[in-house]
Amino acid sequence: MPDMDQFLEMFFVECDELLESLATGLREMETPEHEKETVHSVFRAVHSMKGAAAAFGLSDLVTFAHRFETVLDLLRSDRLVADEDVMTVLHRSSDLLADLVSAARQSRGADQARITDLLDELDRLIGDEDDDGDGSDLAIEFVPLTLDFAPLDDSPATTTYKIIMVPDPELYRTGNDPAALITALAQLGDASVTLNAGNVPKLSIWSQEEARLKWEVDLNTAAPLADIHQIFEFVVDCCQLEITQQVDETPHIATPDIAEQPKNATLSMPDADVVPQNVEHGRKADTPPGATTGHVAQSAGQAATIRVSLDRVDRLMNMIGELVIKEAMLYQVVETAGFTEEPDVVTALEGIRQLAGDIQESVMSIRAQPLKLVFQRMHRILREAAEATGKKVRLETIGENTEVDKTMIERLIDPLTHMIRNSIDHGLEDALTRQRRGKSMEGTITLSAAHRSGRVQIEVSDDGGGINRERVRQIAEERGLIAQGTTLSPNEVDSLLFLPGFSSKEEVSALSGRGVGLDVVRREIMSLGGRVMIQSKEGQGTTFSIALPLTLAVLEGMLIQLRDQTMVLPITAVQETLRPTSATLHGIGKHGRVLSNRGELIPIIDLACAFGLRDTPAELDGGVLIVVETDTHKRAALHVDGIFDQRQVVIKSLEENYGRVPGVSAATILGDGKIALIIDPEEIVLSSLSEHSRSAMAFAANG
Amino acid sequence: MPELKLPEVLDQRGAQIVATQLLDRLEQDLVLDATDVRRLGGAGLEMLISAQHQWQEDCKQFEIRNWSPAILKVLEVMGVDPQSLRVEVQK
Repeated sequence: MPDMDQFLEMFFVECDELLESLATGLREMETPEHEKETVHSVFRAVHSMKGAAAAFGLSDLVTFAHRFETVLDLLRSDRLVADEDVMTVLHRSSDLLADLVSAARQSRGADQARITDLLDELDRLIGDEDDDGDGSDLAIEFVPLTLDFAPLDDSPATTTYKIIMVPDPELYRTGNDPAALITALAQLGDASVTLNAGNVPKLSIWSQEEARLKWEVDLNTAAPLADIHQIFEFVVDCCQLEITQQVDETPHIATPDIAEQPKNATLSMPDADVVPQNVEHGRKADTPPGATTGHVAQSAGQAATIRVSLDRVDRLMNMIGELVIKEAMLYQVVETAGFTEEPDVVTALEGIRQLAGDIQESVMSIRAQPLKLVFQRMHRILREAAEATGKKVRLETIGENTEVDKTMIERLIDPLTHMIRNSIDHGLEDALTRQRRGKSMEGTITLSAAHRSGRVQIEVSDDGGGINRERVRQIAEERGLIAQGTTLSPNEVDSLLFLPGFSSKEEVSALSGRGVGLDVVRREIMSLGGRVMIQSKEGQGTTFSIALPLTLAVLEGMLIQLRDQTMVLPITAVQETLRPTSATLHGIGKHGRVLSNRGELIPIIDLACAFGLRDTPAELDGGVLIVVETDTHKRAALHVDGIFDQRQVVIKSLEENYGRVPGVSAATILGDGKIALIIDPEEIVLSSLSEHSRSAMAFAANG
Repeated sequence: MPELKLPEVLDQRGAQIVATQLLDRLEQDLVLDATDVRRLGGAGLEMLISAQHQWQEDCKQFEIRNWSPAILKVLEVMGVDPQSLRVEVQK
């Protein structure tokens, strides 16, 4: 059924959206202040899925959705209260529905045992409330459409029906598609479709509140009337429908390819008063140009989306990078030649710049996808993990719309799954302990994402007991991962968790504790060019932060001067820039200097010194201070000789040729062809802070 | 002639967005580029027909170009001749 395939694909796309709104709606229903409309929207989502699934004969899906919907109907009519038990079943049902959709998509069978289990649970909720909600009517309702193509030999008589359909706006709003309905009709026999658009007003007075399209379908079919009604079963309440019988019987000539479809096999002899019918097959039919009558034909078309390998997109991205550089060079040449005053030249250059920017953005957007796609899945992981451990857990997500590269989306799923499970299993205490510690019995896992310092930062934090460092240390010693009595800072102890073979849980649980986990997480994140950090406070919880690069990124950078070098500082790290005044500067020890800024003392780092361009820190009078903040919320003021521009630069990786260079994340090519290094403020600040603290400690020790 | 690109999805929401864009271009000849359209729902279709009516009344050129084969198929299923979605003005 090639016709159907195309609509099936649309159906699945639609389903994804509906499933998402279903899951979101269910979560909203758990909040005490949710509105009634939420329940309605959840109901509608399931209802729409059921309707569309019925048109495609996906009986598993329909049966289950029907029962699910019955429960939701009880909820929305206040005959059932959405307590915790009910919500658990609803969540599981929503998960199963998602599984059924994906099973249908891959044309594989579903897990019948699980369906039966949940159907039973739903039945339990339905109870005696709804006697007609199951059993007998299900059997009729869910005959798959594919069975309806009765062989012609068995039912020689065909009937012509005139079907008039006028959709309400509601039909469109629930994601139903007239084209899918008509296609389903055409599957039953020979259909001739006429669209009456005479009532559609001109655009200036057109409104979506009213739908005025009217379809008339003449269907010549051997199928019983019930089959036609079945197609419209789920849209009758949002569509005006009129089905009239036109012809009683017509003789038949069976053709050899009846097995495929009966529609071109009939030779009809219409009664005198009947609308002319189509005898020929759709594709052979000549539709006169200009007419609004079309024939349903076999699909020879192809999908409107194409698959492109990521390589090609990357190549395009690289070339655009070159374009941006060339554009900068051109600008420089024009400037040198003194044409910058010519309005024509300036306009043209500006046009090119704009265009290059637009192209760049569109290519990036081809690859960018919101993290929502990953986060959405985590709700389910969390529910399953919570169930397995018997802990009560809530997931909060922040910044779902943060976009990252597509490859990352796919590769983030596994690490995040591990981390969530780990947080639930190891991070959160059980309800009793939590109560004893004066926390709410329900644990909270927060999943957040944001763009920070030109990177994407994803955090998984729990409000559990924090890392038991004594215990971690002891295990690491037992396993021979560290030598007995090694001196370790708290951070170093925390990082032991990432060692392969480390597992702190005494007994292996169903979820984690098999020695695989965090080391795999770290490996995966590192292979994406990112890093993982842990922060933990005893009794308050643990936060895992993942910082990922925007691989293809073109970075908005501040061009700074360090002696004779030009370098680029990612603008995202910059909080503010200022000229130092003596009032805001304080000295600590011999060389240490701090800046008093917004009630905080922040260390000053001479960037030229950090890069070895100067031996001793320069006087602060001439330069500029740039206050930066790192991923870990540490602040520092970078002292530079000057700032002279802010612009987009194309990131060129250094690692391929030079390996990792400390303090430098990449390089770029400037308009004049020179290479400028892109500074990694994170590393600069962290390495210099530890130096600071060391010298401060030494200072303190020596008095 | 000014051109406007139609979005990928012309469902209810898409139709509303395009309708707004079209209303900014009243009384001008217009070409819509349908290259990107991969979903056309009833609401989208009605909006396009409504636009055709508008342009017809205003006696301005109106044309939708580059339908993908898949969408042409959808149009055919819904009984729409793509040729009917245009306004030709003799100048």
